[in-house]
Amino acid sequence: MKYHSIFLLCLTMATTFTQAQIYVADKCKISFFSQAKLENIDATNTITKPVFNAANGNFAIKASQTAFNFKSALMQEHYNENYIESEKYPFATFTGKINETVNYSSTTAQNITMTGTLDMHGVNLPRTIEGTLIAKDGKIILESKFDVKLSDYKIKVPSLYIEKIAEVVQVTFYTELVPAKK
Amino acid sequence: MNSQNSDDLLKMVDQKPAKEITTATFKTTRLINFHTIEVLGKRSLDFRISHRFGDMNQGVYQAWGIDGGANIRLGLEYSHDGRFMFGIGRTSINKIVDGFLKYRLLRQDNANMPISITLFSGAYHTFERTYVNSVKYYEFPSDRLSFCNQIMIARKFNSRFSLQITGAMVHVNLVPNITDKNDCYIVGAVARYKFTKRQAITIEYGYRLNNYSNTPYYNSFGVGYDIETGGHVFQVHFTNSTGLTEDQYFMYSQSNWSNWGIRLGFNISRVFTLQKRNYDN
Repeated sequence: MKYHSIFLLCLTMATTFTQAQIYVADKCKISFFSQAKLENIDATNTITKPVFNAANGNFAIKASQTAFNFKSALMQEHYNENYIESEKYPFATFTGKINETVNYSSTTAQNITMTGTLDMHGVNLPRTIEGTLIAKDGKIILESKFDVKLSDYKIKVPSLYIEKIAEVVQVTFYTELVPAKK
Repeated sequence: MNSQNSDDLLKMVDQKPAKEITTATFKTTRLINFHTIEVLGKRSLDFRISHRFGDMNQGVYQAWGIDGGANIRLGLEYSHDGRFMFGIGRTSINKIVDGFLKYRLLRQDNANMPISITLFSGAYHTFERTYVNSVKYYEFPSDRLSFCNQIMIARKFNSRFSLQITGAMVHVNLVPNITDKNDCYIVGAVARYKFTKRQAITIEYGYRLNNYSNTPYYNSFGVGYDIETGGHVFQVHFTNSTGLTEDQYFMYSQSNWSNWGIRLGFNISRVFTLQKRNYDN
């Protein structure tokens, strides 16, 4: 009985220790921008919550395509219906790992690269994304700007389209991560 | 214990697809003539041009109706919240100015709501001259008015196929003949089939339930083709109705398909968004 409790105590401690390495997003903002002839296209998603493991630098995010808010309701409809086909491919995911050794005791911004897979519109592609990491007040802030080429993800822009859409979309990513509770 | 790789993390962020409202049951607020359950998006202004040529059975001399008997409606329609919309329009034949209100009562979603319901109410006022050849046509100002109320029930079965049932009631204050009745009840069906991401074929039919006139009028029937190019939607179609407002096409379609009493028509819709930004809430 006594051993049992000690074992349980150890287990609880071990779990606590592991959990402390896991960070979840407190705030997260993913937006993308594309230059177009008539109206620029930009959309923002603020409800997605990524997860980060500080112990080994692994990172995962799963963003619902329908959670992207556009300035124009019609554009949002076109995004979901005609381009990204949200009914068929409802999520964009990225799973990756930080290549560098991160110093979590430093509060200055550190340049990092993350290698992993970006999966959307049914296409899985390996990517290395550059960004910065700031560890401050028990929080980890990750920031990144990267490009997505539409043809890489089999997203077609029809030629008769009046609103000519740029082939490359700029994605901006920002998240504030806090230690996971429990 | 620290060996969690990114795939394990992905399981942590895994989420069930949330309840989502079905969008784009139809491409625009109209199918051909008939209203669909669609309401414009938030802060969207829609400028619509609807044009119908003359009857095709006028033959080659009239270029199958392209030369004569055209009817055009110019409309301006707006929605602030994406649920309630209103519009005004001017139609050339009968010099009608119309105004309507439309409200999404229920919206289909992927959880437990299988259908969408939209309510419609419209009023029509003719600006024809009071006297034609010294015969007084409009005794009272109210004689110029007609009304239409509709309930529209639709379901988007999949990304390609949508079906709508419309129940409509039209009231005309002044009818053409003394034996005519003022009210007409209509049951309509509207369907669209998208064969590519941006192109669809459409069909609409309105069956009149009561006998309101001795003059032969016909049920409105149209087939069309939709193509969408960004902010524009082009709709090209054939219909036996000349009228572009509910009081006209539901009740007073004077020609029919059996003797080519149909016309070529098109609708162009251009949507503008009157909003600077949306995500700052």
